[in-house]
Amino acid sequence: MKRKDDDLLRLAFGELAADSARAVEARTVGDASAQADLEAMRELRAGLQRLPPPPPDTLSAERLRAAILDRELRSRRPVPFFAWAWAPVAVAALAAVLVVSRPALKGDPQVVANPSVLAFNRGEEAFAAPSFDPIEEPIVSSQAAPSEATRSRATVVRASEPAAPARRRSAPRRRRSRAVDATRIQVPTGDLFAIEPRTQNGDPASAFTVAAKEPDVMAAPTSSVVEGGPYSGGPESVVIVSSKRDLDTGARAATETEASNVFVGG
Amino acid sequence: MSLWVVESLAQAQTVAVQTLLDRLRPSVAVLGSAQRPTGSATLLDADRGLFLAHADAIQGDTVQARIGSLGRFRLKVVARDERTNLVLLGPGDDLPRLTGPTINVADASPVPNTPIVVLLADGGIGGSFVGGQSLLVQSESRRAVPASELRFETPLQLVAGALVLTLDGRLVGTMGATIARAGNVAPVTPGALADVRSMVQGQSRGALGSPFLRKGASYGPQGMTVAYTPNLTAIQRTIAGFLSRDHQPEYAGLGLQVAESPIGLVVVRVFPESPASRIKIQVGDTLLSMDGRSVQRQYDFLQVLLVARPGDHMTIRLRHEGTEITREAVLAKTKR
Repeated sequence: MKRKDDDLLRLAFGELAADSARAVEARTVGDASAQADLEAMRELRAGLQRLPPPPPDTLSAERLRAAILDRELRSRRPVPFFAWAWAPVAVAALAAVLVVSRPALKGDPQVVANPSVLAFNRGEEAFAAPSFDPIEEPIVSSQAAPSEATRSRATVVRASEPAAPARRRSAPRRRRSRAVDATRIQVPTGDLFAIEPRTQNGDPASAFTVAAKEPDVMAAPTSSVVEGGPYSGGPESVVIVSSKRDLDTGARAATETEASNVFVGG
Repeated sequence: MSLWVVESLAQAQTVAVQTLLDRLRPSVAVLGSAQRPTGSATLLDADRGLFLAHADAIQGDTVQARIGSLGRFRLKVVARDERTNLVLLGPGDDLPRLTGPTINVADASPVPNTPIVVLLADGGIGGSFVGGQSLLVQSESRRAVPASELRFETPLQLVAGALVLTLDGRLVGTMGATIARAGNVAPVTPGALADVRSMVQGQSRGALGSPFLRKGASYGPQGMTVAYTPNLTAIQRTIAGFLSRDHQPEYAGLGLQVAESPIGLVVVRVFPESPASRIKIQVGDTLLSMDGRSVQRQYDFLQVLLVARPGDHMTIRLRHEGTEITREAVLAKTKR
């Protein structure tokens, strides 16, 4: 990006000191092209400010990533000048977001999370596969006879190896979508977490009295496993214990994943 | 009660394990039928006839049990804990007089490499306590609990649902799942696999000789099996609940979900009407500390909640939109 464009961007987003801002504005006088660019950038900023915030109780990996990004950016003070080299890319990306989002803005406020990022089902498939494809295989080594190998139900997940042919429903892939399809956001719903005042012997009349003395009772916050965590890393492992047992031994299959792939409830 | 010796278990430790098993004999009930034992239960309260077992050792609401010379009797499920998968068993109609010592729960988590014994059906096997700070997530109940790692030089991947003791007989874990790590798995022949299965079912005693595992030369140190147990705090909490008047463990909750990230624990969901929502914790906030304890990871988060009790006032420090703030929450009691 040329220095002139960079100054215009900083001016439009209020990043320049008063003296510098006046100087840049003075330079645009008589320069129709620069004034048009400045106006477009100001409109872009105003458009961004009109974006509705996401609902506060929405499970959102996107917001998590944004928070991480925001924090990391904050820690890098002062921002080096070369960081603005990315500004044109950012502007283009933001402009694209605005254009894409505009139809949604005319309707009801929409969830900004990419619905395909999150998956939460019930039962055995309650945990969507991590970002890497799981290789379901027995604990026994490859030297073992296949017929015996399949008798072991433990599962090893290898993050670094190529995906094996899917033996169970594969995780939904990320896809671009303008309108958010709420039906694809399969997060725990209210029935999993209903606050109920404690009652004494089921007597509603005593609920308030008891509630004043006793702590609230709520359904235990559950945990989720997401398709791909907000970041990759972290030495701690999370062991997902299957709900199904081996009929002979009672053993449960288990898989390991990274802590960053799990949203823990508590 | 027999002892299956692992190849590398030191002789002194082998003797200690056998001594422990002999001492526990009057206190450990073998669950399941004679033809098909499924696991063990340890005596928790002799006066009330309460036993502790892992859920995977029990199918249904009642189970047959046997203690050495006391013969067979029935136990019934009194309570289950979905976090630890521990089950409280109570007396049926035919409970004999129990004379064995009750199980002791360890006060503190063992140091790494502490020798341990896993109580299987009618026997035990040696291993080591590794420790660490992992998480166990039960896919059925979607409950998460802090976990510690165990290791065995045996192909125990077919086994889950066992109680874990130190050599001095203190309960330190309950094996919830076993995983053999990739690249660390020894060959197991089909025959050996079948033998292990028989051993787990309690059918190997005598038939395969003793020590059984020494016969299975196809696995050893190269075939390290990794297992996980809910950590000691979770087990202590569960057992305390089991021994309470209503036999129900109580857990405290804030009502939110958190994710680990490079900047710490980020709130990704706040449940409506929860303690967290009442003090205006929002998605995107970063938890810094709870009751003065730094919470950098999900393990820390769960551990702090495990120690807390419903109704407790908890001071929470968090970062909200770049600003550090402090709030106080009243923890709720979680129910199933």
